[in-house]
Amino acid sequence: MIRGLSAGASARRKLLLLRLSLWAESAATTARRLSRNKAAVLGGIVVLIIALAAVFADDIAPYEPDDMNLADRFSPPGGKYLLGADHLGRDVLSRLIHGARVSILVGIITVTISIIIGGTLGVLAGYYGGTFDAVLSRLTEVLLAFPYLIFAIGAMAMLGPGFWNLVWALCFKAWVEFFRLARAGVLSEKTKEYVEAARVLGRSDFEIMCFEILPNVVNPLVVVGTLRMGTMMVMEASLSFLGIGIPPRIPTWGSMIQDGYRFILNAWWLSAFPGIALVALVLSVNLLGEGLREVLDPDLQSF
Amino acid sequence: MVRAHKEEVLSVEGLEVVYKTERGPVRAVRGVDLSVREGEILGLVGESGCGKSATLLSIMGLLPPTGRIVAGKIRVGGVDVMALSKKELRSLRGNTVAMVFQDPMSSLNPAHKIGAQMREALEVHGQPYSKDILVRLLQEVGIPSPETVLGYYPHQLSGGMQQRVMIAIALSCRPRLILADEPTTALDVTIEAQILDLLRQINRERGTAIVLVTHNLAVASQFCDRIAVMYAGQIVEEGNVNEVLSNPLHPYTQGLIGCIPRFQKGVPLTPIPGQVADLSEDFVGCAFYPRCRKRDASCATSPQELVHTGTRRVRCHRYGYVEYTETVAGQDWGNE
Amino acid sequence: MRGVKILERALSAIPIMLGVCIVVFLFMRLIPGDPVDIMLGEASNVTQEEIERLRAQFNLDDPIHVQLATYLGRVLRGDLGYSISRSASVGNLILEALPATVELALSSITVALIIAVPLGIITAVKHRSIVDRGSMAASFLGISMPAFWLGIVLILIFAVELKWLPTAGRAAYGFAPRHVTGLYVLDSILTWDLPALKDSVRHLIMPSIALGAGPAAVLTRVIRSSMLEVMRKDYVTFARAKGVAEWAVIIKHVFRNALIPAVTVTGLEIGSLLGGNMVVETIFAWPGMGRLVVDGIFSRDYPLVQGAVMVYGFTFVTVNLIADILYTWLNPRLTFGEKV
Repeated sequence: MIRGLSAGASARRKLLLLRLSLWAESAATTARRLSRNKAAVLGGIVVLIIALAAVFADDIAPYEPDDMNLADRFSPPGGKYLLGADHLGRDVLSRLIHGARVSILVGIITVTISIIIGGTLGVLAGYYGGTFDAVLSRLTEVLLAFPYLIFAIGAMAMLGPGFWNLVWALCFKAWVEFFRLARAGVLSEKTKEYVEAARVLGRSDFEIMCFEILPNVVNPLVVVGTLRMGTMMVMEASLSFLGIGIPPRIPTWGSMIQDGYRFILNAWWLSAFPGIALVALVLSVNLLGEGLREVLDPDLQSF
Repeated sequence: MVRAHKEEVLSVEGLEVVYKTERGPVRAVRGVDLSVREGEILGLVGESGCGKSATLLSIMGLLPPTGRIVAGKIRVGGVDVMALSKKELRSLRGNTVAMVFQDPMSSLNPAHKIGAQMREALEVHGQPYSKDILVRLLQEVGIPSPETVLGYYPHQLSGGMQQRVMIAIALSCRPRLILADEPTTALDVTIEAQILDLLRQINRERGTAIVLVTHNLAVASQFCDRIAVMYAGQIVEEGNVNEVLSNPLHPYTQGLIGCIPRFQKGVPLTPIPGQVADLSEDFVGCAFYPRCRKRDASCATSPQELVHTGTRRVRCHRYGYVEYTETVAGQDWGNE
Repeated sequence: MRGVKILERALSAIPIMLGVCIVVFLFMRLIPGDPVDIMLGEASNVTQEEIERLRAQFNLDDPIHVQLATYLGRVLRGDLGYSISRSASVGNLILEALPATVELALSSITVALIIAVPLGIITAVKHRSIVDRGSMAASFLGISMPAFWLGIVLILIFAVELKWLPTAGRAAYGFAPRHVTGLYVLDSILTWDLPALKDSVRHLIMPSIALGAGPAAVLTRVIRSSMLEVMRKDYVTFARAKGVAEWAVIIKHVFRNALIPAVTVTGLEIGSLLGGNMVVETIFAWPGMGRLVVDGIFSRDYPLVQGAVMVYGFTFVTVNLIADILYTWLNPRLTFGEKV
């Protein structure tokens, strides 16, 4: 009896190892196929460069982002300041490098939180159905009735400016899409034979959800998640541009565009460089996401 | 029945078609010769992927962009199809030669009413298209209450009715030749018989020639005057339907006949071993060699030519040397 | 049959509208503390009468479900509350601002469709050609380009450098047409006021392009991919086999069917144009809903924000409802279910 139990436990451990190695293998396959897509590779490299710049901002920025040098106000690009100086004599390049932190972090954190919340609820709702599913589904329908930006603006109006407030304001609605994707995926998977087989073998609901169903519904979540990182970055920039996102003392690309917009007639470089950086980052993220879509889920309608 | 005096409606000589695919070029049709005379029904028989449909689409000039005719000559009613301009080709399609597709549900446009789709076929060829004409066309293919059906969308009709509509459209400009690509495969057996009856009736009454593409030898045996058996993009055997079925000369034809279930107890099915030949590969000798029960060493290396023997053709260099009597020959394949 | 389907769909919007009201109400109640105190925290010139009015509006002493019921009752009567920052009823303020936003959204989607429909068709027909690849790259840029950034670039080029187009507002001073519908282009046509027509069109061009570029890119991709899908269908080959000319095959058979998914996406895009334009409205000083909301947030005018967010929700639901009805109407398979 005891032998049987321990044998079961070791078999279980082996199974887990096997599953992990299978996951690692499929991740490696995905990476290999993705590396054949030139546009996706280019996007990945740009994202990587910007992310590295954000991480090592303190080391590579030529000036402190807040250092004001009033004598150098509106210095044009070139010379002492590679990308010019702003209306307070701050180095645009340094602020740009530091501003990348907010964009990258907002993109990664909001999407991660939304996938975890939306994905978990979606899998549970799809698997168990019932009242839980009905209530959540109605709720998501209502949330979908609000356009993204207006919802975030409404939430920011209530919460006030701040990094985490912004993250939550964006997550309020962002989870809905992942919920629906996960739920729809589970609904179509759970009637298939392999789930039935797992149930017959005595697997628990938790094991079935995590090890049987989840691997088969995770691809669209990854694809849409990547594409939504770009959306979230644009949202953050829009809110910061309106002055209701990140507090003004933290440099962000959105607020830099806003600051520069007031002086656009005399000093185009104040808005131009953060704008170009934003477009480049969002474009790269989208290229990466599109490449993932082609590899992981070619039939998925994205955008 | 000798029809030698009748005019040749379709002639295909040395047709070769290549498809571009991600895995490289696929030689779907490899030198097909066909000839169909007025009033004749030719069956083009073979497993899926043997080049039957590609042959039909080539005749219509409707190969997808990935497909290309690389060699051969196609004449419809004496006209060299491949020399025609796009406009001339269009006036041929649906007019001199019409096509009936496999799946009627997906071959009728879901967004347009039946009447509109029928009208279009007449309109493009400058034919009159009054409601009376449309109603008569539907009556001819045996559709009850045709006035109502004109106002229906395709999905409101059953599969058999949809196929009748498609045949009505094909007939609308009184074509001399109908190319039917597995017209009954998507239908129930009872409906299949009705549709085949309808086609034969059209053939008898109007002398319309028909090329019937099918993978079903039993259907071909009931319906056709002559059959051509295709394998790996080539015709391997051709002849009068009774002769071919009662005395098949090519081992592949014999194999196909062995695969037909009979209504007799104790007659085992004899499946053909192996897989259908891969059309992306080239072969020097016989394409059927890997699956053939009667092969010898020379089959893999010696090129196979179509051998003419009286009214028949066969592509097997061992024909004449091998005794075929041990096969299923002798079965009665009476054509009615 | 068709009527019943459409009615069913219309009725299904009601619980969602109700949900929109509840969510907006909860938004208000989520603020910690007494909203009236927070709102009036910085304001000093508020009269006692206005404070009373706000207290009545929020009836903060009742239990929450009573507050909700009172609130829903008000909304149902069309009473969206009172804006202190502008000393006017929120309903009237929104009614004034809504036509500007609607006009901008409609002209943006027009720009998007003018670009997307031909481009979607051409790229699908010339699949994998240089035109196709170029357009797809451009559409990627369009999708990735934030509308407000594009707006700034347009202003720099066409207003600052070339001085072709005005930078801000809906009409130059004194050029606004007589009020009929509130949509300036439509009004100036209705009253046959040509200077006003020219002026309002000139004001519309840049914001419409800035807002329309994203939807144009999305719609191009949608039309292209559904065209490509339809082109593989048997009925397209059958149409060619009938002898139909190639352009007629593309328009009558392919595009007609590819249109159906495009309608849904167009509806979604109009919805998000109506609700996603506050940044562009700010840049172009467009006196629409977006400006109203942003101003409301800065002046802590919660009733105004609340009312505007709700109207956005309602509009979005309504636009999607219309798109769904159109979809049902375009797709005979949904409207005529019976089989013979």
